[in-house]
Amino acid sequence: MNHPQPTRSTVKAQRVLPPLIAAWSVTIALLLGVTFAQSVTLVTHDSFTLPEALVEAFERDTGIDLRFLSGGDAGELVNRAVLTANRPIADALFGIDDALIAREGARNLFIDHEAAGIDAVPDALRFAGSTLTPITVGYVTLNLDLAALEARGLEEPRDLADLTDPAYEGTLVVTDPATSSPGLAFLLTTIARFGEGGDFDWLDFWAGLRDNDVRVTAGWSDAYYTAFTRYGGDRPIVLSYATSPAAEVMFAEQPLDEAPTKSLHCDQCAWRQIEAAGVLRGAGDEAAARQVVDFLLSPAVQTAVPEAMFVYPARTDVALPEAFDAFGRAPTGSAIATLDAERIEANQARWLEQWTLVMRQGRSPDEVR
Amino acid sequence: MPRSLGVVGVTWRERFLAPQRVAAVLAWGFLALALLVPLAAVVARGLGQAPWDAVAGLLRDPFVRERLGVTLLQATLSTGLTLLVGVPGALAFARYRFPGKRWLRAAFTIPFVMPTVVAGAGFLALVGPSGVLGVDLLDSLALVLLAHVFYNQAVVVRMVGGFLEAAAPNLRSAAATLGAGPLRLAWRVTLPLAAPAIFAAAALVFVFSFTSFGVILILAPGGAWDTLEVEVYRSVARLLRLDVAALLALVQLSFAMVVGGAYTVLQARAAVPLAAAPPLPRPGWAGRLVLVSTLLPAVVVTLAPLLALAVRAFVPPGAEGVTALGWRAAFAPSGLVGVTSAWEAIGNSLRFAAAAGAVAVVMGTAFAYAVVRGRQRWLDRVSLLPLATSSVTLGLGLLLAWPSLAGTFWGLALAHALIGMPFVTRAVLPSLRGVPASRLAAAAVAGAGAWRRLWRVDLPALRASLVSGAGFAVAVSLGEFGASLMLTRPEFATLPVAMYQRLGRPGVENYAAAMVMALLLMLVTAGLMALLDRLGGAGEW
Repeated sequence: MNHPQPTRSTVKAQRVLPPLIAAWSVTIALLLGVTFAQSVTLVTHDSFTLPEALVEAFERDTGIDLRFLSGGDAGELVNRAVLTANRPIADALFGIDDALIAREGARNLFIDHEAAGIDAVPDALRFAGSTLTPITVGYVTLNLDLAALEARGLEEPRDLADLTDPAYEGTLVVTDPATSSPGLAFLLTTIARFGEGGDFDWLDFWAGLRDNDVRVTAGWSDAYYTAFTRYGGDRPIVLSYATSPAAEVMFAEQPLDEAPTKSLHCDQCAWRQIEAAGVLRGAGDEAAARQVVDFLLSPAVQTAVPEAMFVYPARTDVALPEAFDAFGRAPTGSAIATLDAERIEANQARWLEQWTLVMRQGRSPDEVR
Repeated sequence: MPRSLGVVGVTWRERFLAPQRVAAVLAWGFLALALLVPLAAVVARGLGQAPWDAVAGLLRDPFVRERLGVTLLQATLSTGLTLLVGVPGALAFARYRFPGKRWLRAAFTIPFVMPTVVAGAGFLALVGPSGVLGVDLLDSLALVLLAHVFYNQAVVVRMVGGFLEAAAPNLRSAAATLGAGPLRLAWRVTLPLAAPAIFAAAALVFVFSFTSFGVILILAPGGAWDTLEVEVYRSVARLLRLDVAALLALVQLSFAMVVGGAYTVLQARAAVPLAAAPPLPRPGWAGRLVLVSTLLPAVVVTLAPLLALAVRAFVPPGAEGVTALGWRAAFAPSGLVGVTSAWEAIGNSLRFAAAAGAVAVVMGTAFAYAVVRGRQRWLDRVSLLPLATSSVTLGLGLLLAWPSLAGTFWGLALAHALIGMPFVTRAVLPSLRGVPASRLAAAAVAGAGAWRRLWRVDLPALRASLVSGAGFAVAVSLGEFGASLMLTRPEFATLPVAMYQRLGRPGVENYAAAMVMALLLMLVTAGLMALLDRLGGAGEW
C-alpha cells in the first residue's frame, strides 16, 4: 500500500476512477438531500395523537419531514416552552389552552399566524390576538357512573352546589388544578359559577367539597382509573370530559347500546378547553412551521381529531363520529362557564394560591380571602 | 496500600493515565455535566426570579418546616421498616442455595420498576376504599410505609444478599464449627459482616423515601404526607416558581449530603476483607423453616400487589370476566402517532436499558474506584445526589443547560444512566473496600501495573456487586417514564411510557391494554434480572 502500484493497475484505476467519483458524488448528493430535506419539529403535550397515515401524507405532499416531541403534560409543555423561549426546542407547539396562555411569558412565545382554514372556526373559539390557532375543543365536566350512583340510592346532581350536600359525601374525585389541566379548568368553572366574594363564593364551595370528603388526585389518569368506581375505585363522580362516555362506548369490551357513564350537563357546569397551536418565535424554519399549523387545521386532521384525542375539532364543517353525537353531546349555551381572558390572566396565580391554602393546608375561606 | 507502591520512577504516562485518575476525571466529569451544571442553571435562574433572602425566608414558613419534618419522619420510618423486612430475607438469600432462588430474587426487583399509578392501583385493590381486604388505608402513613417497603426492599435484599454471598463464608463456618448456634451466628458474625452493605442499602432507601413522589400522590392524595419533592413539583408545575424549586432542591441536597456523609463514616468503620466464597449449602429442615419465615413477609409485600395487577391484565374492571381485549389492543399496531404498540415499546425498553445500564456501570464503577483508590472523599459524599435531586428540577436544569440533548436517544439514555449510577457505586464500594490490600500488594510486587491490578485483582472481586448494581441501573431505566425528567419523542416510548399513553385515554380497551403493558414490564424486568444474575454467576455461589 505504501508503494506505487504497477502500471497496469494505474491504467485500470484511471478507467475506474471517473465512474467511481460519479457514484461517490451521487451518494453524497443523495445523503445531503436526505439530511437537508426540510425537517420541522412540533412539540406537543403527551396526550397528543394523530393517525400515522395523515402524517405520511403531509410529508409526501410538502416534502417536509415532520418530527414530534413530547413535552410532558400540558402544564409541563408550556413551562418548557417558556424556559427555552430564547432558543426554542421546536418550530411549532400544540397543546396550549386558554387557561395556560395566562402563564407568565406564555403569550410572547408565538409569532403571528393566520392559518389557512381559520374561517371554518367559529368566532367563539378564536383566541384574542392573532398568534394562536384553535385546533381542538374539549368540554371539562363531571362524569357519573350511573350504576354506582343508583346502587348508592343517589340522584344525578342538578347543580354543582349539590355536591356539598352531605348526601354526596365521599362521591367525588377531581384533579389538582396545580398539576392538571382539567383540574385548572374545573377550578375556573367554579369561579365562574359561584363568583368571588358573595355569600357562597367559590372558596366556600371548595371548603364544602373538602368537608364532604372530596378526593383530589394529581392527574386525570389517577382520578379516572384509580378512584372512579367504573375502574374499581370508590368514587361514582369523576372530573373528566363530555366525550368520555362516548369513548366508553367506542372502547367497550362488547358493543354497547347505552353508555355506562354520563357527563353532567347543568348550569355553568362545564369548561370549554380550547387547545391551540402556534408557530414558536425563533423557529428554525418558519415557513414549514406555518404549514404544520395549517395541517393541524386541515379538514383531514380535523376529521381525525375526535377519534384520536376524544375532543371536538375546532372546525365546524367536518363530520363527527356517531358515538359523539349519541353519547358525547357537547354542552352549549349557559351550560358552559366562562371567564374573561384578562381576568384569568390577572388572577390565576392568586386563585391557585388560595385554592392550595384551603384544600391542601385546611385553612378556612375567610382566612385566605 | 497501592498508592505507596511503585512511586519511584513513575513515568508521565503512568502518573496521568493512572486508573484512579482516569476514574476520577470520568466520575467528576459525568456528575458535573449531567447534574451539577443543570442544577446550577436552575439555581441561577431561580435567583434571577426572586432575591435570595426572600427565598430563604421560605425556610421560616411553618408550612415548609412542617413538610420537612413530615418528610424526615416518614423517610426514617420507611428505612427502618424496609430493613426490618429486607435484612432477614437477604440473610436467608446469602445463607442457602435453593431452587427458584434466581427467579425469586428477580421478582423482588419488579416493584422497583413499577410505575406508581399501576402499583398504587394494586395496593388500593387490596387495602383501598373498596379493597378486597376490607381495610381502607388510603391517606394513611401505614400505606405510605407499606408502599415504600414494597418499592425498596429489593435494594436491601439484593445489595445485602449479594454482598454477603461474597463475604467470607469460611468465617461463618469457622464460627459454626466453634459451636455458635444459628441465631448467635447471625447476630455476632453475619450482621456485623453485612454492616457495610446494610448501611449502603439504608442510605439509598432513606434518600428514596425522602424524595418519594408518585407513591404519595396516589396513596396519600389528601396531602398529609406530602414530601418536599411533592411541594417542588407543585410549585414548578403550577407557577414555574424556579426560586422555590431551587431552594427546596438545595434543602433536599443538603440532607442527602448529610446522609451520604453519615454513611461514609459508618461504612469506613465497618469495612471487612473479603475472601473467595465456596458454594452455598442447600438448607436442611431447620434451614427451610428459617428460609420460609424470613422470606415470607418480603414475598407477601412484594407479590400480593403484583398479583392483583396481573389479574387485571386478564380481567380488567369494567369488562365482564376474562378477556383478551387488552392483549389484542396492546400488540396491534395502533396506526396513531403517540400510541405505541407493545412490540415497539419492548424494543425501546431494551435499547434504553442496555445503553443506560452500560453507561451507569462504567460511570458508577469509575466513581467507586475514584473514591476508594483515588481517595476522592468528596465524590463519596455527593454520590447519592442524582437520586436525591428532585427529578422535576433536574429535568428543567437539563433542559436549560443542554437544550440540544432534548428529545435525543442519548439525552434520554444519559439521564437514565445518571439516576442508575448511584446504585452501581453503592453496590461496588463495599466490595472494592473489601479487596485485601495484601492481594494488591502481592500483585504489585509481581510486577502488575495499576491497570493490570484493576483488571486482574479488583474487577474479579467486584463481580457479584457489579451484577447487583447493573441490575438496578437497568431497572431504573426500565421503570423511568421520563415525562418530567427529559423531553422525549413518541417513537422512543418505552413500556411505562406506552402504558401511560393508554392510561391517558378513556375506555375499557385502553385500560386493559395499559394493564397488559404493566404485566409485560414485570415480565421483561424479571427476565432481564434473571439473565443478569446468570451472566454474573450470582446465585450460583
